[in-house]
Amino acid sequence: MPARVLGLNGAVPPSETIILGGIGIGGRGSGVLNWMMGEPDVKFVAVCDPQKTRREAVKKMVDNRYGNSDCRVYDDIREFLAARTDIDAVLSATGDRWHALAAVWAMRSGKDIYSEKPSSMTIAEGQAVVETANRYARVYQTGTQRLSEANFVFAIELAKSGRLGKVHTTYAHIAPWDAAAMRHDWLAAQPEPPKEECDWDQWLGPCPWRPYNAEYTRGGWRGHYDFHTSCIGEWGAHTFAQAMAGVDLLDTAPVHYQYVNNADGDGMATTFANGVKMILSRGDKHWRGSCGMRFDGPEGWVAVADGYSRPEVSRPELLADFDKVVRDYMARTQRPMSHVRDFFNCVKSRRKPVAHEMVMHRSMTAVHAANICMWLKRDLRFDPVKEEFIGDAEANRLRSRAMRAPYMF
Amino acid sequence: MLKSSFTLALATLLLTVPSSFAQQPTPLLTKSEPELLAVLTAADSTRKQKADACLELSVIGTKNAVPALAALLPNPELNHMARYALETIPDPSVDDALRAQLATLTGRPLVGVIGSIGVRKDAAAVPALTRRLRDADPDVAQAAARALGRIGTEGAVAAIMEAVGETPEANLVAFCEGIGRGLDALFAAGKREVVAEIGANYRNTSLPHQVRSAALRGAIRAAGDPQRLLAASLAEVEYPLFATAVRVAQEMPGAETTRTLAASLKTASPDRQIVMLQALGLSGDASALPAITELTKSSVKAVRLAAVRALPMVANAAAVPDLASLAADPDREIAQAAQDGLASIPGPQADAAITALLASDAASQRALGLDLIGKRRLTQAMPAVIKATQDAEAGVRVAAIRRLGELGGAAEVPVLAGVLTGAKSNPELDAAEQALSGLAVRVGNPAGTVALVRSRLAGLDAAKSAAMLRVLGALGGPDALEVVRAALGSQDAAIRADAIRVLSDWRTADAAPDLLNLARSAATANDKMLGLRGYVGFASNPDLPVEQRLAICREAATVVQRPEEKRLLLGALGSIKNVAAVELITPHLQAADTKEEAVAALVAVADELLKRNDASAKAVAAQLITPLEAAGNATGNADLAKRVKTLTERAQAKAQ
Repeated sequence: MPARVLGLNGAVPPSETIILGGIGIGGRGSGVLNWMMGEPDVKFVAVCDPQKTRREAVKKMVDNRYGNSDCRVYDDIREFLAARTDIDAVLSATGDRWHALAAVWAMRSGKDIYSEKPSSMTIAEGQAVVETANRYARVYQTGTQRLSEANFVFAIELAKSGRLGKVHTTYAHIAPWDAAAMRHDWLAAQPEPPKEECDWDQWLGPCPWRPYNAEYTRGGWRGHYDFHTSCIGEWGAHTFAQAMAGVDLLDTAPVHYQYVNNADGDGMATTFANGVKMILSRGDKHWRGSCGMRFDGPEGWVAVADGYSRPEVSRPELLADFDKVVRDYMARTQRPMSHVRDFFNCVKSRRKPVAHEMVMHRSMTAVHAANICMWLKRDLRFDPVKEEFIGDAEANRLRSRAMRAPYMF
Repeated sequence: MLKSSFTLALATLLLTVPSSFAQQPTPLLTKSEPELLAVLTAADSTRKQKADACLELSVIGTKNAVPALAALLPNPELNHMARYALETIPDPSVDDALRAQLATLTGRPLVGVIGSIGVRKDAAAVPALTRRLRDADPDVAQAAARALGRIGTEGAVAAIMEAVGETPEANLVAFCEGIGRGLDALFAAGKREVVAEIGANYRNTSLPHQVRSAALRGAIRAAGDPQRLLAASLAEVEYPLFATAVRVAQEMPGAETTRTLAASLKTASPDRQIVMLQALGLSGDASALPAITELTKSSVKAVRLAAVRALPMVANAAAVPDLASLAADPDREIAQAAQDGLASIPGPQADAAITALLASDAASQRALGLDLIGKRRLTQAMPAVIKATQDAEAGVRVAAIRRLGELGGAAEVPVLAGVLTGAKSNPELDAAEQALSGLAVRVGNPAGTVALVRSRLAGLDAAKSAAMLRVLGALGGPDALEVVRAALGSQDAAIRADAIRVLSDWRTADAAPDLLNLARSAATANDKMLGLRGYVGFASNPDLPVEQRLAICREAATVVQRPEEKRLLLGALGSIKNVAAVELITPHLQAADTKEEAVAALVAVADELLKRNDASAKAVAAQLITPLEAAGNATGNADLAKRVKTLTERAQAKAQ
């Protein structure tokens, strides 16, 4: 019997429409939401945000698209998740501080979730996401959309196929702004707005309390330790997963992190247990564009970033099979070249998406470990099986942060 | 005055830049533990200073910090930051301190402390947490359930189980989360019987579907006979539980699971068949192929399509024959999915199966095989491809010739030359010419190819000879040019004409002298005209240096006689943006039969030259005035006259 008849969420037969909701949708989230609403079997019905202007903006956008006034708005995430048992899947595009908690709460409520990145603030948060997705058999996709883009898929497949020889080094782009070190200051206190305008307590969520300042709510949270994962996480949330996919090491994390004495981690060499290196790279040394990656093997290299018409390769003949490589990948894996479509396909098939919870957790573990390496200013060794640093108690204590009640797992 | 301006500028700056501009990143660790404890206990420390101290203590704090931190737990403002530090301190005194708060705290501070106890998995807190399961504050009761689940002992799970029946409905999801956590912990500890029993009980309750899904997952994984429970679950009436069963099936791949899924396919609804087909595909288990293949015959198209798409996911050569058959399906979507699948199945066995299609009795299968050989770039299939160039079906022969050109190497150049000379139809001849041209260029042995072509030219009919000459044109170089030049002496007018056309399309100007000779002294008027056209064509080539193009025009000017020849030359001159071209155009302004073409050429050149703003722009403009005035007088075309007038005015203005 279809889920609709039973009034149950989170289980959609192939022939039915996926009912979608949204949490914390701002600029980036609106882009993804527009993308999602273009899918023929998706219907967006409600948005939740502690800020009135944002939730109303989403309602207006959605209502305009559908030509009605049906989109409902909620200001409390727990109430939203509990009340809307008709919603199958959720798009979460909050600030980084809320990604993991929103995902865990949504999945615990029986919903599948597409979560923007960086999708965890700590290693422990990633573990919670993985545990919850498994426990409730939920579908989770992190927003590393380049894993579903032809240029990046080609470069990954080329690296995995052996045509570059055994890849020994991969490079992963880190953001050109901000630093690895974080801000620990508080912005000057301003009068808190009425709760219905901006629920500041909920905006902070699991993070330590600090006084209200409107700049935080306009994106000024970036760069602050409590809210952000530095220049490494900003793009590393994408590029580490991309790089790890190409060397087929998405089920683990680097075991060694080599501290570099600069402000941003540029040039940090991380090493996997099999000896393959993943090097953090800032700027355009290895590509031109954003979120770049590169794979080096004894028989050639391939590099790609946003804006390329085709990847750069060491030998032109490597590109000869571009269409074939991408087409074969799609036929063999049945993965579409659309990250949101892959998510919706998996909502229906119950298969894990291309950027499932463990892909997120392993790549974000590398992000967090690289940050910790920079913050403690020393090399680190990591055991990806036990998920703990070896011989470094301080680093291990940075794997988690106590969450503020009631915003806890 | 200076000072007040500076002050104003500074004030403006401070008002316009974000406040974050003033702040920079700071180190994570700044103080020693004693210094941090001094901050915590100082009477005049601010909330921010204490919060910062707690953050640093979360990294470096020891048991020495526990008393000061514990003292902050009752403080609603600092409870969280105290836990922030305490939660990561690896000393049992922390557990004692947190546990001690369970009896006294209320509200959020208590919820937070319970959460931290759960994170630390303090089994000694189970009795106190059990009491809190019945707390009137739902947040406290829920936190207690979740914490007990995380502690995950049999006693902790039993406590939640005992309380769940009487807890308010609002607490149910949290209590079930606690039970779920506990079951995961017990499963990891090897206590499968307990997990199986609890899971089996819960999946039949009226709890929300995700809770029952979690219970079902636990029950299947822990069951003594998981396949029996999986099979039963795949037949569940409720779709959410069926969906969970499929997900669990993906977690435990193997021949037994494949059998269970395959057996469940037959009686399932189309929607469920589609979901299970993908799970079978994902299994990568070849034993799933018969069940998948069976559903490629379904009467429901969506099911057929899912089955066709699942076949290549198994990634086994055994799927090739079925996919090959489906590749010719009348439904284009089905056929395309099958073809994509065939191209993607990896491995030498699949390669062999696809190559074997060339031996099929059906021409469509042989053509499909050739298409797939191209998509898979199967160079090892070359002998079969060469054989297919002699296929009984013309379409197959053409496809084989194309594959030969795409996948061949040096060894296939003479093969293709032989195919070209033996072509039985125009499509084959065209395909062979294109394939040989591409392959010859790619192989990069021009001398060898030219020698080969030279040896095969004798006795060919005009069409094949022309094709060979065009191959040489594609190849280029002095050796090839020599062979084409020799063809100019053929007695066959058609071959001569083709040779002239090849020279006219030559990639470099090396062929220009031959064409000029033809324009001057060819035996027939037609060859003269073709030669002149080819020669003047080089003057229009923007890749050649301007001086070379002008030199060609000057030579051509000595040859052209008839009006159409002069117009040809004027057309080329109009494409050369140089003052020297103007000089060559000007004499034609006075001739009645070429003046309009001359005016048009002059307009084109002048328009470009007047856009210049370099050092010579003024002098160039001055040189244009007289020719433009002459053009204005010569033309009878109103539009041209208007453009000439505008250009004349621009030239005059620029020349001043």
